[in-house]
Amino acid sequence: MHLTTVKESKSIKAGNIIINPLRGIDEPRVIINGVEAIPENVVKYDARVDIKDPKTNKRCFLVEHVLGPLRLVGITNAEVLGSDKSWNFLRPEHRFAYSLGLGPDVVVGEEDGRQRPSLASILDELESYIIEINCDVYKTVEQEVYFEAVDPFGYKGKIHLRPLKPNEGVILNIRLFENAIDGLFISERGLKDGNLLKQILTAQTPFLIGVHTKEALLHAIGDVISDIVGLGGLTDVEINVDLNFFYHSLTVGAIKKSKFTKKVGVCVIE
Amino acid sequence: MSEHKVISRCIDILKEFNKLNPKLYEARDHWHYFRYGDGKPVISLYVPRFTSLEELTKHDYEYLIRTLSVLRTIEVINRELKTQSVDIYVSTKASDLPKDFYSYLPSLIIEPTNLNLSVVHKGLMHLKVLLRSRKLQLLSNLWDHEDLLEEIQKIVWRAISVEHPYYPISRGSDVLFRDIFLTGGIIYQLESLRINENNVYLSFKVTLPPETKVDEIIKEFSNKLSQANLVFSSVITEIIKNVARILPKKRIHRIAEETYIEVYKREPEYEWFPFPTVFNELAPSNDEILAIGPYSHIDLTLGKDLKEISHDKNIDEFATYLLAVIRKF
Repeated sequence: MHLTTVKESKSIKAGNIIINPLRGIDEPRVIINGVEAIPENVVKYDARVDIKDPKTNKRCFLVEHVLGPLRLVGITNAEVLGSDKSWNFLRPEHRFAYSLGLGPDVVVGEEDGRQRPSLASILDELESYIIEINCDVYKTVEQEVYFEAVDPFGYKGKIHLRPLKPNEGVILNIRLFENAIDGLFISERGLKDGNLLKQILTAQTPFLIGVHTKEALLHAIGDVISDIVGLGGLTDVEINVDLNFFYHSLTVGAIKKSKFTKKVGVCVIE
Repeated sequence: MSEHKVISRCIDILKEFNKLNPKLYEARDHWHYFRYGDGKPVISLYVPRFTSLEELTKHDYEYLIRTLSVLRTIEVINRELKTQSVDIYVSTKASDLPKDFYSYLPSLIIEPTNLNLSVVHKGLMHLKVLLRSRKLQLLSNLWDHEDLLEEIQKIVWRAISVEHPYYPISRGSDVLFRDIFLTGGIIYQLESLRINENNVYLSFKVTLPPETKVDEIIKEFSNKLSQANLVFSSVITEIIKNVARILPKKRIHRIAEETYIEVYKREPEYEWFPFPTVFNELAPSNDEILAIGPYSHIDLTLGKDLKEISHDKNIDEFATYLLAVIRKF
């Protein structure tokens, strides 16, 4: 798979984040407010996903609403900065950040709990913002991964990750309670079905609307892509997942447990 | 549950602390000060008087879990003379702490934080409102009383109701979600209501989040009233307790965070405390303070006596954590 990033002159303002180019890394990678979004840096994964830099102790909140949307629109590498300037203390993440003496910019998820609606609104022109990096990479899980987790409400979730061959892309079979979608295909260009992509980017979190709607399932697609493909930096993998309520403990738990196989082909790192 | 049993339980708690041979014991203004240890103070403990209603409530039960965790910690610490000085407050309500009970040592304030660390506590203010109503001029007609009361009920209802376009926090929502979001919100509690010939007086206690100006609260309240087609003719505000915020950069915070990971095998989380406590009183003069409390989503179980409650697993778990923190000083 070829890595992609944002063109030098075309940073994207997408709601409460700014998406900037990132080069110099030979695998899919997103850096948020200076913190690498990788499994080792995840410090909270239940109702949301937070990352923390072990050296600087800087923490970022709700990173799943950055990682999933980026990968779904076909951006594999980016440096992201939060841009919120005002507090909303009804949000627990804002209270946490305020307690630590950080600013509201460290919370990179939006207050309405949608994935990234501002990217949906520029979807038709997004191609003009993205550039392919001359770097061909293959990264998948070393072997099949089975993982189960029970959330605080007693719901059990199950996930199975299966390695795929180079350029087979990401295949997702997902269930959230009574709703399910099978055979979603995400290539290096992201999710091809524009209508579905728009619905995912504007879907609200099951945490606010409950787990029993189609919209909740669409939101969960973004979250699963974030946690497995985004955090793991994977290029090719099959994901079979039966989600519970606080499902990040399931998905991030699985990627934290995984070992990876990586091969770098022609790769010019500027 | 008989009054006699409740009273004996209250006495038991203090007795238990006294059984551990404090070097000093003093009681004032609902606070009980125990000092344990030989030579220099090893540990000082401030416990507010345990008051209870006729039945053991969920809050009493939670308080007992916290207090007994501290008791168990001191049972062990009391045998270890090498411990440095740490003060512990078992805080419940915003009862004023006597000035000479203020600590300048690193202090742990044991509050129902559900295992979160807390360094921000909301403040509290009075909001007293004088309303004028067209209906009041018609009070000579007794039948209008009913309308007036209904109108006032609507005002109070609006004032204490909270709604949000995204967050499930309105009345009737799951308590879990109300806790999650309203911890940071402006909450109104009706304190008194008085009606005379021309006016209606309402008095509220209002929780004050950080970075929130009194003017904003008045504006918000005014908006709530305007939805009921009412205006107020005067407003009096008075800060009862200031907001407290300590940045967690001191040794006590580092030790508490490290120990949390060791004991609970996960990163600690910071959360605000939704109303002022002794934390707000200590914070202006001591920045080495931290509020922490055991997991306390506890089902109300009536009829348990002190002996049964003392076997709650949350007590041992939290006492283990407290011990590990104090031993590092």
